[in-house]
Amino acid sequence: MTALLVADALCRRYGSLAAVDRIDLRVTDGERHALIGPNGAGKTTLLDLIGGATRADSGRIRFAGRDITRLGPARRARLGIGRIHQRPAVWSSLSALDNVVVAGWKQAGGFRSAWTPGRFRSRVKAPGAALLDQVGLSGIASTAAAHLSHGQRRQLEIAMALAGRPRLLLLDEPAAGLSSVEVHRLAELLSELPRTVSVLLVEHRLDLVYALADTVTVLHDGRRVATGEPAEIRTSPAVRQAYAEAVR
Amino acid sequence: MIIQAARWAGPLDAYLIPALDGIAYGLLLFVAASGLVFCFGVANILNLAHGTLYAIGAYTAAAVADGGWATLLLALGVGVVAAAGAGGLLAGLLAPVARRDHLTQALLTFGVALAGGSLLVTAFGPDNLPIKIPAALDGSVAVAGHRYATYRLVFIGVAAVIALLLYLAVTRTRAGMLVRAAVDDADMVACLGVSPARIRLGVLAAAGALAGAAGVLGAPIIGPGPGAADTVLLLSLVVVVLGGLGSVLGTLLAALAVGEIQTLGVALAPTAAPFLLFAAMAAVLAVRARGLPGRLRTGLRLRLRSTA
Amino acid sequence: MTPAGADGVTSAGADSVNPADRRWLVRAGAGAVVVAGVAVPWLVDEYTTSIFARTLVLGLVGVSVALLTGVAGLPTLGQTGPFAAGAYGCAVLGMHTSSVGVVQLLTGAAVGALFAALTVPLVVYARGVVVLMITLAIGELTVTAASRWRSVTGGSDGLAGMPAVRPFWGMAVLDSDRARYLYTLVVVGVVVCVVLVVLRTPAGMLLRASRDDEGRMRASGHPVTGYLAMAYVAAGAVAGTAGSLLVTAQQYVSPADFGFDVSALLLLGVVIGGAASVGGAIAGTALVVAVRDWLSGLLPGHAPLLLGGLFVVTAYLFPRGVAGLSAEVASLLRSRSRSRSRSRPGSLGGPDVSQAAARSEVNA
Repeated sequence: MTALLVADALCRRYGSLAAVDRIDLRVTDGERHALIGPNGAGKTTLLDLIGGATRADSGRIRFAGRDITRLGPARRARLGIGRIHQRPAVWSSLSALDNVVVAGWKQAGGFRSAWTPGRFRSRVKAPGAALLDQVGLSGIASTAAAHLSHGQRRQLEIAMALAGRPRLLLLDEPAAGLSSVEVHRLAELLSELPRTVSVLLVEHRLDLVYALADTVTVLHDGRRVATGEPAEIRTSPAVRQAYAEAVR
Repeated sequence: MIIQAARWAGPLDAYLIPALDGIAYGLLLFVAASGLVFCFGVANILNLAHGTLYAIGAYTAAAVADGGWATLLLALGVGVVAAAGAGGLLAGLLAPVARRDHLTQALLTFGVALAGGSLLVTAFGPDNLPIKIPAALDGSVAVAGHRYATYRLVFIGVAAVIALLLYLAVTRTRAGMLVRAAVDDADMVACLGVSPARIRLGVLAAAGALAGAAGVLGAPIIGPGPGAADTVLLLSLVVVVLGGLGSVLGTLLAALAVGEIQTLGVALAPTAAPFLLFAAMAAVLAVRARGLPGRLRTGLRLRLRSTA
Repeated sequence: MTPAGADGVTSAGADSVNPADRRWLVRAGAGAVVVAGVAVPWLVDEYTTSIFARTLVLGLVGVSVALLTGVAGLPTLGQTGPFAAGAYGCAVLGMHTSSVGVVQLLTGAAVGALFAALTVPLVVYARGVVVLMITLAIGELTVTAASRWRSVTGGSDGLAGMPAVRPFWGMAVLDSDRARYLYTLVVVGVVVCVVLVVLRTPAGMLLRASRDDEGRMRASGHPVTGYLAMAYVAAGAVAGTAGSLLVTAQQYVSPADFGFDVSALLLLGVVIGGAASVGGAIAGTALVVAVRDWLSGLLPGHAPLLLGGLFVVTAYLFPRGVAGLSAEVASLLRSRSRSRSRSRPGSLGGPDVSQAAARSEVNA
């Protein structure tokens, strides 16, 4: 199995606090890799480092064989790293469909695909509408994103991330704030993702994690505590220790 | 030893006087701009009436000082109180719009600046007013083979003392600690039980006091007149942009840089001074955007971006 | 494209008027304004006509302010910079080279765009209030430079004595206030139409999305800084065109045309008109200019005092904040973090807790 993402000894400090302390991580092609750990373990920071929103203090990141450590977030996105944020980030003044259109713009060829209305429709709008269908939002395609509920925004942002045709999808607590029905729908959506898209998922809801993940990595205090299959991790004493310490 | 240094300086000593002027100008800007840094850093207020507060001090000096030491000190007292009072008034005016966006505050303070400037011109006339300073300070002193205005030399000393006091106040006192905490995270300070209205009042009054003091003492350098407020506001803004909000030292260095550009820069290339300021701002902002090493980068860059 | 208002702005608050009706109203209103605008020179005297011409010119600069403040999300007090650059460029051209209107307009636009291109690195890495500071400094420094650079700009005396303008080769010269006014009206109309058309293209969507949430734009691969830079240069071209119109309408240019109070007046007008709206920018700017002129007629010599009072009163009168008229601008101006906009539509005024979180996230 080829490694799609290899992160070596990533470090990120904020003053004297080491949010991410020499973490190694590998995600292979098609893998569903979950990151779990108590609050403050550095999970979101790690996603920020991989997505490019934050620059690492030291360490290296390779994506599809290429060193992306020095690249900014937009560049990484164009290389195929997609992202969902903890608080759904959508463009309030645009309609749901336009959100997906703009999100998929670069992958569709940017301005080249907009010269004629026909091209725009077939290359940009139609795939966008299809994605909205896929996440279950086709009914509200023309509603302004500002008027969508939290759950709908979460679905919209997933559609937006998928519009970029990512090879690696970074999901930051996608189930946060969702009702159980919505979580169920989310789980279905994620499990239906093709294996051409690898997933790195940060999540607190362990039922979702164990249902979806092939591999689970546990973080605690900025360090990687354990990596393994869900069954192993579930029963690992080291992991239980980490959570127990966090509660204390 | 000074004579040795002067001989070594050789062709450079034609620029000695402008360079000294630059230090005086820079220190003046430092005292004036620190008020703006306070307002913005602590209370997140872009106070476009800042120049007016300086002008109040300068006009007080013109009106009260009559050549005696007593009146000079009186002018200082009255100027500081008047400008601090104006700052407090501004805080009161800002109270109803405190929770609104920055644009509203900027427009309000700008309105006050316009109105205040107009009132000052109505009261004192549209001309630049002369300042009467004590005879002992009115002459010139020998510096490395040149004559230099005594007042400016003394001013450099006094301003340096004020700068030092400011630095100590910010780094060593409890109030200063609150100030630094607020610059980092204003809402946390609110959680400590200090009411935002009080902070606003305190900050604007302090900013007024500093600007007023700068106005009174600096009046022989940037004197009272219709353009003074605009000049001081503009240069203070440039100092804030260049120096960031992270440290007293940063503000000081930025102020000195601007001072030197305005004096030495003008001596070297008269029409180029405004462009030099542009260039300085461009250079600093470009370097910051690309990132400076370590703490400097985090402190200055995030400050510039996150305070919006 | 979207069901949002005429220029793509959605009010997140209660929209009591049916969008379709609203669009009809806006179009009818705009039509009436255009008709009235054309009729002006026949309804008032020559002097007032020239005032109207100058107001239109300021309105066009207001459009460039709206483009940056409302659409791109860079609130600016410095469009007087490219305005002045375009005006002086056109004046110099008019005195020495060409008195053809089209050439002068293109020169104004080019000089304005060049000015913007040179100052763009100063502005485009900052956000929010810091942009206000930097652009104010740019505007002021430009005026200072214009006052000092006697050899080119005539210093504080300014430049005068340009020959009258012919709109196009072979056309008659503009020799009356009425002719100059109509020329101004036509040019402003054309530029505004071009701006509106461009804003309806995907370019407009990209700018609005960048304003709404820059972090999400980057996460989708968009080079946001590049987009903002392009918007800034385009706004510079619009302001530069207005500059050349100023020279044609006034036949005189001096640093006093571009002072501090002009910048603030523009910003106030744009914000009153609804910061992201092009039509609103012109209407708002015209309103503020009219009120200022009326007030200074009441108390001559005290114009700044009255104008200042107007600013203060306006700041109080708008209960949802001056920028509350346009929900997007309000939430934008409260968003501080470069990486994410914490906009919560409808939460205008009131403490913004998410902002504190944003700030500590960025500072952490």
